[in-house]
Amino acid sequence: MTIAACYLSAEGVVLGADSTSSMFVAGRGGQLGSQHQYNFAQKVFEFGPRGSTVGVALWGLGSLGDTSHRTLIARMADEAAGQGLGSLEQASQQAASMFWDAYTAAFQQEISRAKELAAKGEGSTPDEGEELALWRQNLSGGFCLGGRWGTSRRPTAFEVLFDPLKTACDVTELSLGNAYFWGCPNLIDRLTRGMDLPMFSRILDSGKWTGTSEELFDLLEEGALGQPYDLPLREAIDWIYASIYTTIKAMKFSHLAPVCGGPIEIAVISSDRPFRWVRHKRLGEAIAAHQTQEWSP
Amino acid sequence: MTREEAKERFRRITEPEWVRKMKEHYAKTGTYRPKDLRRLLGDPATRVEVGADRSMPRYLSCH
Repeated sequence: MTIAACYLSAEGVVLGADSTSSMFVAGRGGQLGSQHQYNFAQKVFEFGPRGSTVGVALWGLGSLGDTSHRTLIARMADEAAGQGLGSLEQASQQAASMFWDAYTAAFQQEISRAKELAAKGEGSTPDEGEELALWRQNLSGGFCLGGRWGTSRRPTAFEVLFDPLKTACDVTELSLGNAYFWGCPNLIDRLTRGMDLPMFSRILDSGKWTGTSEELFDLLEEGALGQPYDLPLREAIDWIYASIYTTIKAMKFSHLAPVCGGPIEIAVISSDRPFRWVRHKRLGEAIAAHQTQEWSP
Repeated sequence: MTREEAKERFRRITEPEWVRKMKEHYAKTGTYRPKDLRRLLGDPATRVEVGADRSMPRYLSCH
């Protein structure tokens, strides 16, 4: 799982993510396997060679079969540069299309199975319902492309979402002055609004709420935290870092599995400068972390 | 329930049944059930958007 985030400000785009990759490692010869959390995965990338004005943050799947996100993003950037696209929106549409092709090729059988189960609708058994939920959880996700395109000075960002029940990725432009969270966003919802969407739905579905959903929402709004509009760039960096850090620590200090963690990576593309890392782990970071643990008093 | 009773009830919040079942499942299989993941962490196919109230004045910052 991931906590990925984007803040689109008038000064630039901030992209961030944690570094944990959850992987089930199967045992051999009938032994049980176990879930592992590897804390040095990369989820924020520069889109294209150094000096690029676009970055990507991603969440959901760890890879597309034998194709890594790193490879696919490099191919997307090559293709976008080769075709001479005119805007970040066009580049996002093209990236979405390339992602969808790789995704459906890598998970052809699983996607077919999810669609087959969904088609049963009300007629599905509880086990089939569980299986569908499993496929949707494991095969959904997305990525966010943010930055500037060509000679444009205007920062923009696009969200690309995939789901096994769709027929293509959804591409949506993000709004200026807002922060966006993906992957495991419930904790941010609770922090800023006092409740997450699943809890809101559970109250409505409980049959014990006699008001309308709007009335429940009005109550929530009374306790929600107001937000500033369009933060200065360095404050936006702080907001993104703090929100990812908060999610990681909420998991660490609760009954939740540490499915978000590791170094927090943050990148910025400002209106006057290309892609820059604010925080980025070195290639030897896992070794360095081990040595710190080993040698510190 | 009075305000004081509610305060006391908040203080005594215990682990609900579904969390116990979730932990049991995790202990047995090393994985979480999808419905628990969605309930606790969120839907990977949706986003949470946090922004200002656009009906309020927004050009009030100054250097």
